[in-house]
Amino acid sequence: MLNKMVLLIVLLIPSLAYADNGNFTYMIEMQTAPFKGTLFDDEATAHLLTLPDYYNLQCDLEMDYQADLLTEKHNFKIKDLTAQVEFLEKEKITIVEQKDSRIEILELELKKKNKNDKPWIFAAGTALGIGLTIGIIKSLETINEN
Amino acid sequence: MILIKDFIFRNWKELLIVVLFSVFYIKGKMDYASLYKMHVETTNQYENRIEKLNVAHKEQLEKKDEAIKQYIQRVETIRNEFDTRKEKIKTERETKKEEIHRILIEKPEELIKDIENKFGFKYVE
Repeated sequence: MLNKMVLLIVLLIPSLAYADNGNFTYMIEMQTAPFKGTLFDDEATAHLLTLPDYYNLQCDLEMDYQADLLTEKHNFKIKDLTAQVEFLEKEKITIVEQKDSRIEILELELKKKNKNDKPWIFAAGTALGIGLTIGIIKSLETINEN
Repeated sequence: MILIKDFIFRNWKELLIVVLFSVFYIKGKMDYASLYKMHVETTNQYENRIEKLNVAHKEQLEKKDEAIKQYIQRVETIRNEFDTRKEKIKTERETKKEEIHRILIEKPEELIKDIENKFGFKYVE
């Protein structure tokens, strides 16, 4: 029985509220009401009257708070990523410098190796050939003399 | 002088072998020195690169630490601000409630319009 009554009250209250946003009146002790309704005391009325503004302000505050937190979080991420980018830039510069230096050394070495000393080699070969020939002839002469 | 000449003529084969070996030895030494120099320079370059990377990495970590510190400080400030504003809203509401309470006792008809506007209720005598 009690369950049915509670259900009826729950079903009736929203239908009144949505139909015409409801009615209200002030009542004093022993006064009769022009319709069946809900009577709020002053405290409850004050509470209800301040509720919309309070919710609005709280909503704004909560939104500001969440927005500020997100902004800070993203600022932190940006700073972290900027630091990473700077590090990678420096790493890139270091690698390029090292490669440049290595190329320079190898080019220098290649230059040394590819020196145009063919005339000297030719002259040394000729001199060695002449020397060997003379040596062989001299040794043959010595053998013949003996 | 004649003695040296005689010595050279007598031992020219041995001398030639010694000269040739000396040439090979010097050439080998020169090549080795060149390779060693390159190796040393390459090692120095890598050491230099590692040092630079270490410095850059340290800087990056310092910046990250600084960013974390700033983030924590900012969040703390935002939370404190939020709490203060929340408290202020509550206080303002309490003041407003007291004012409404007073009006309800003294002149309740003053609130009729307010209630009608806020909730869309219609006042009935």
